[in-house]
Amino acid sequence: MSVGKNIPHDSARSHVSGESIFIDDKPFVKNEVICGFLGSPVACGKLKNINIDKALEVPGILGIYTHKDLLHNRWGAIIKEQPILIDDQISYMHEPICVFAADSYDAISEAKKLVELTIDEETPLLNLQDSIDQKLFLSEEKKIENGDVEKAFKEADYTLEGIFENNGQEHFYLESHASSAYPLENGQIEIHSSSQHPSETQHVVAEALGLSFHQVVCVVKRMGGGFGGKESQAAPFAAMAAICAKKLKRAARIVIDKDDDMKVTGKRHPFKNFWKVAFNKEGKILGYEIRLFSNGGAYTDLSGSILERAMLHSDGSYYIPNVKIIGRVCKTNVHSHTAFRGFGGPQGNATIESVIEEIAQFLNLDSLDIRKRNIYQGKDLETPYGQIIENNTLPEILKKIEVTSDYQERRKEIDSFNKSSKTHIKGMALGSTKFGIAFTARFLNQANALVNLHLDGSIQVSTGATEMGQGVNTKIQQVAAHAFGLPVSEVQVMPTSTEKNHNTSPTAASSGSDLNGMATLIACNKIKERLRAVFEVHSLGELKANEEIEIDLSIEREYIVFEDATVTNTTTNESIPLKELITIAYLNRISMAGYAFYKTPGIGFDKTTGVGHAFNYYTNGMAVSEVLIDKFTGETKILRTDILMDLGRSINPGIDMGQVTGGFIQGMGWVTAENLVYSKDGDFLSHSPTTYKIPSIHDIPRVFNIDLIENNTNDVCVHKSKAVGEPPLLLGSAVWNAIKNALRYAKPEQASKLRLPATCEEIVMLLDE
Amino acid sequence: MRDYVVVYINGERHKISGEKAFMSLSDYLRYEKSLTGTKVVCSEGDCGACTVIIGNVHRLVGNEFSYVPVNSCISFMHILDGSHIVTIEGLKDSNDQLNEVQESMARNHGAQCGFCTPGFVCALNTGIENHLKANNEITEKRIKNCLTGNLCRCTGYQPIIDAGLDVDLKSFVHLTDKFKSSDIIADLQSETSKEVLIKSSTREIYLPVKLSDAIKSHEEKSHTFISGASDLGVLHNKRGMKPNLLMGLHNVEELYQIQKRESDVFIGARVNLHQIEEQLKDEFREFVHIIHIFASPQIKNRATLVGNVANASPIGDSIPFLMVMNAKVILIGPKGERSVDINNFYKGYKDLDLKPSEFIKGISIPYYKENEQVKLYKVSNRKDMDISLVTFAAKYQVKNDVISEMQIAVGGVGPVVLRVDKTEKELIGKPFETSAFEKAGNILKSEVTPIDDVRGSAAYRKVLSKNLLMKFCAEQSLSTNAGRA
Repeated sequence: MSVGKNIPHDSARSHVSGESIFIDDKPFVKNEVICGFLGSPVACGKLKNINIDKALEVPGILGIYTHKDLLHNRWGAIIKEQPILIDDQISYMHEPICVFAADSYDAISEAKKLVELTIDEETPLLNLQDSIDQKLFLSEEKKIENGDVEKAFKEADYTLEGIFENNGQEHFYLESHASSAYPLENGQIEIHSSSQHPSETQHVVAEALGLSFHQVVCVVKRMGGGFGGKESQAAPFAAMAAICAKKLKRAARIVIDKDDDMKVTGKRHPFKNFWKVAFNKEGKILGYEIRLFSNGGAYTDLSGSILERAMLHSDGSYYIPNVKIIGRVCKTNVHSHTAFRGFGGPQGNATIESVIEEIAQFLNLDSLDIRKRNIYQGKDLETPYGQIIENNTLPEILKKIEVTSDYQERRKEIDSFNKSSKTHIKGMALGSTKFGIAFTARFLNQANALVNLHLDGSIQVSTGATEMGQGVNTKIQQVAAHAFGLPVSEVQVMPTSTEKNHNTSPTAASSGSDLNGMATLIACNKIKERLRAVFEVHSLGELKANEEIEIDLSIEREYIVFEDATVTNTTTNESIPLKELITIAYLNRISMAGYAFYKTPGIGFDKTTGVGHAFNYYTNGMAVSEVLIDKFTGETKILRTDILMDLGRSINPGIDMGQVTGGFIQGMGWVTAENLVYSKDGDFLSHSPTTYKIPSIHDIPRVFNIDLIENNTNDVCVHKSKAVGEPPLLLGSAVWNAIKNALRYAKPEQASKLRLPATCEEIVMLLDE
Repeated sequence: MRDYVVVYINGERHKISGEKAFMSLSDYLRYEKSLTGTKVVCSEGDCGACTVIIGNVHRLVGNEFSYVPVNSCISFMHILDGSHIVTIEGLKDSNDQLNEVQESMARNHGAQCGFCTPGFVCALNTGIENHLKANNEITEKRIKNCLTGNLCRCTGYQPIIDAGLDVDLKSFVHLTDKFKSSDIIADLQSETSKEVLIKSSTREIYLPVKLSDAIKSHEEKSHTFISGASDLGVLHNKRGMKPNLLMGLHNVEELYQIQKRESDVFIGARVNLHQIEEQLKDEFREFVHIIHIFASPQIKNRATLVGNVANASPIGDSIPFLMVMNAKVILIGPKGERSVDINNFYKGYKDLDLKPSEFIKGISIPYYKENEQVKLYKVSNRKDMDISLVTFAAKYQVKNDVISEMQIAVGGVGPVVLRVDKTEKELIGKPFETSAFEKAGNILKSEVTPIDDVRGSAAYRKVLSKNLLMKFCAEQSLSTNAGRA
């Protein structure tokens, strides 16, 4: 029984010994060249001319390529509008202009200084509000509406309104973007990429080089972290390496350094959300109206879908009978913002969480009471987009966590601490996540898997899932091992490759294990069905050496089970070692490969009406965080965090716990110290860990309790599990809510102004006003 | 005279000369030796992915290497002369099996994507080895402290902490046992007793053995001095700074000493921050607390106090303390030694009272006088491993409920660390009370001249300056009250 077991990550042993191979760890092949790019020195303007003559003379420079060298220069996950290399309009600072191929990094640094650019500089638009005012949008207006908002606002006891602003977030995957390209015969090319989306990388490379898709193979062994940052934006870097490989007929490698990676790639979207809420004396929300504006940066990228998910998570975990959600993506002259764990969900969710705190402050109640009144419960299960929540575990989680976190007792302690302390303030709050699982673009909810059962009883599985540390390969390994009753050591999940699995979706939306795990299970079952039939024929003694075997697959033979490397007919108690059965099947010319396709049934969200069954199910969880703030410096310590999650029946509890801790801490970083800073010219200044501060080991909660509830109801997912990647990130809001709560104790009139992230500066300046 | 340096890597001898001596250790490992387990992420010593383990002949404990973690991306080969370097590839046991730290990391899900993992394993392995040698219990706090210099974006750290606490300590094999080092040490001691001059096509590095040779050479050539390279390494990687003439005092044995003298403590130019943290706990407790959050273990094992002083940054974390202590910078040159009060050492932004033929031999810090107290603060956007926004030091005496002495230095609010005379004067003769500090705080706000930068706005730094003064007042009052109670 492999499913449900806490086994180590399938790469754990090679990770801890330094033997895992990432792109730049691959040995250089003969004549392999190094690639780099030159980014734009301005954030906006027209590129009139590129003179590379002097740069070409630098010793070690083997080639310099511009947009003229690309056969197709537009890419984009939704709209193909973004140039791989600038051909006319410069849209953000450091946007790639040309690509160098060289025999050393020093040569590239030298050559960069010698490229002469003629640019007609234009004034960049850098501020989200300016873009709103000038109506510079990257999307049409989207709307989700339910009930009668106007009536609710007229009839409510109270109304409040405000603005919620959040900044973006850098992914800070440890391995920056990297690709290597190997030219093959007949113009074919093989790409190895640190990409969450090998299929898109394959397509973008093929188009850039003027090749058909069947001439390009993209392979992804693993990534050193992805978090969404390598969903769309890995592709152009692969194309840069590919163009060098094609031109020089030599292997080519591009490895972006951390500073350039942070400057050129997009982040989590900043949002500015204008909200109004209507509620009664008890704090029950009657109406909610929110206009979301996201900062998409220079190009559309995935911004439309991200905005949509923000809108779909604007209800948070709370039932709102009358609601109007309107959203728009704004254009600015910064890097094109992109997918990041949560994909808009955190921004929509953090807004309603903030509104809950506002209502509590207005009514002078504990925000926990407001949450209790508004949480999806009883018959109040209809979301703003008309989906009815099934198997709702939110009330159970809320009830339990109030007890396990010792909320009420600690509230009293905090009240008394804040009355007496002259130097510090404490705050505490709950944050919730109800994360919808499925791509909202229905067509992406598909996957395929290839399972090869070898003669020695070992298995290779290939799927479109990419491994970025989240453990999808381990879960797939467990699903396959479980299916055949084998130890996981008998299953190897192979590098993701577009020649084995094509038309794949990105490993994103937390759905990697859901989709690919299910496809793997179906593929395994296909082989098992054949083996069961063979076993039955074999048991009857009907196998003859010179006769073609005939197996009837129309019969279900669930009574034949695979356990402990043995196949057993539970009706006759006859059994055979799996290996032996495989040999019999092979000699009788039975296929032991399984290829399967899976699509999530029953989902469909109508983007035009804003109504539909957007999600397959929800992953729920809550966190209670307590913070201690130094009044003088704004420094914040997380004293304690309790997390309670519903992850269905976990395939691998150890891996899932790692996702919960990692996701929460990443969310905590977003709401506290991680701050994107730009210059007045649009230069991104916080482009390395010296200036961009992700949480360190000392920043995690002093007391950190994580637990899961039991839930066996999730029939719609592989082995009744639930997706885990993104949902816990939204729990970072508990920390932000707690800081807001602390400010309410110290300066109630300032608490409403708190922006996200709540940096030391943000806190000190609010307290100083 | 040698034209090479000698290091051992995972027990194997490497003689390095010419261009290769100017490579960073991480490049040397990855490109010259195909030891790609060591990863490079930030190239500025801020993420710890490139962490390797180093023991150096000048820092032996007993007759053995004292292994410490360092950032290989900002360590140059030439200044590693005399080192034994252990990389992630050197940690498996002799049967090619994972060691106990690696096993625990694998078992406890301490690795997700794996990119930061080799660095974590090296730092954790060293931390555990050193705590076991010191007979310390392996606690959660100690695990965290030895991993302050490593960033992980996947795990949220808890699984790594769990792994640290779950290491099978009974089976743990010390590196000093794994690598039999008496021959290595003898070899390196013999080599490092000879001076080094390595020339590449455009650059040279000189590693003298005697201080007198250093003085002579510097008078002739006016070298750029390199110490721990925790700043030069970053400038090299990020801005292509490659000084032509380098000198390192790494083989000058006498400069590794902390001398506790009658009226002061002398800290030699090769004394690193880790040594201060270990050896001056009793003398300068508050300063040692600041060093705890000064930088990561990896940096503190490389960076020297003299390097921090010579760097002359307005946010140098040691400088405010040294200023209020009236520490002396001991300069040495062809005309002998000269001592300069650090308060007079900085003439402007990165402008020092230092003649071209002179260099810094060490720093001397006088002991506290009776009744003198010191309060130090460092504020940064993240508590650990971050560059300061504002640093603050106050040394003071209270006699008969009145402030009789007050020296305040504030960093990060001007081109150099500032002594704020007007604020000091305002407080002298006043009772230690909020109202006096409130008034002085407003003066302080007008006395500082911060600028906007990526870490924080000028307005914020002004508010912080005053707030630190008020925090100092509040905490002092609290401790006094507590004392009375």
